[in-house]
Amino acid sequence: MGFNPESINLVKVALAEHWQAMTGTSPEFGAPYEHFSDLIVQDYTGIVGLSGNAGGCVLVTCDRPFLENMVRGVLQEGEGAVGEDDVLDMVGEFANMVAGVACSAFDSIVHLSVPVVIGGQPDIVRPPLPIPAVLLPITWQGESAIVAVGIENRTPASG
Amino acid sequence: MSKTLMIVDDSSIVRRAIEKYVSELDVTVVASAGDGRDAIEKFSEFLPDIVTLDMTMPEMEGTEVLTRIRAVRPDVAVIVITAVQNESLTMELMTQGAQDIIKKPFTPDQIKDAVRRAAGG
Repeated sequence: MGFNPESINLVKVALAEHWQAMTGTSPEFGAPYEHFSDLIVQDYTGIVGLSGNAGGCVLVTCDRPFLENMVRGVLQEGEGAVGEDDVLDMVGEFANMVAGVACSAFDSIVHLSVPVVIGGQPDIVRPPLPIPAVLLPITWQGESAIVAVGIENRTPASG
Repeated sequence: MSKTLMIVDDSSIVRRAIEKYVSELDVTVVASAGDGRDAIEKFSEFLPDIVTLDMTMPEMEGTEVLTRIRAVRPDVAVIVITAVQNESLTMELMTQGAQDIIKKPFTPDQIKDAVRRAAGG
């Protein structure tokens, strides 16, 4: 069993709840869809690998203003400047947060990797996403992000 | 006398956020660490009463850090912070002596409540 547009609804609900608690505002979600090819990423990308009874990875990609707003929300700060280190840190935490939420959809033991973060350029990232992965567009404070979830249940079938 | 706290997380933003959230409590942040090895060194140096401990970090997993710091100071109150929470991990962490387990992403109130409990009120 893998992730599909229906199961990602669990992620949407949990993310909305956590986001509201963390930043005081909720994101808007676009319709999730299955993606069958390489992913074109935005300026910053965070990737968390999963292993154990479920495997695959979670990827988030967005532009800098989205992450700057997240940093300000988490730190409960106003309009101050946000440095590059914090932006890279935030995209990793964003990926980590989504991975944790996505794992909760699987009743199994899952280990998360330390996030890998990419700042800046690559037009295409080839993460170890099972194909198809499920993509979920997010809009928050006028900025957009994409969450990609590719998880396969690797628990041996019983019986 | 206020209790002492060490914050262990590989994310600088998370460390700063926790420090900010607990600033209104009667605890003193004496150290913070960004990976497991640094955490063990600083723990031995500062011997804090309370530790907030991330599970997934470079250098050394949080579970190993938990075991090692409790070997140094068995009465330390450890608040584990983890993105993954399931029954078997919870059992393992509690067996190893974690006082509280908080799932990421956390809210300011979750951190404050856990630190208050660890500080004994």
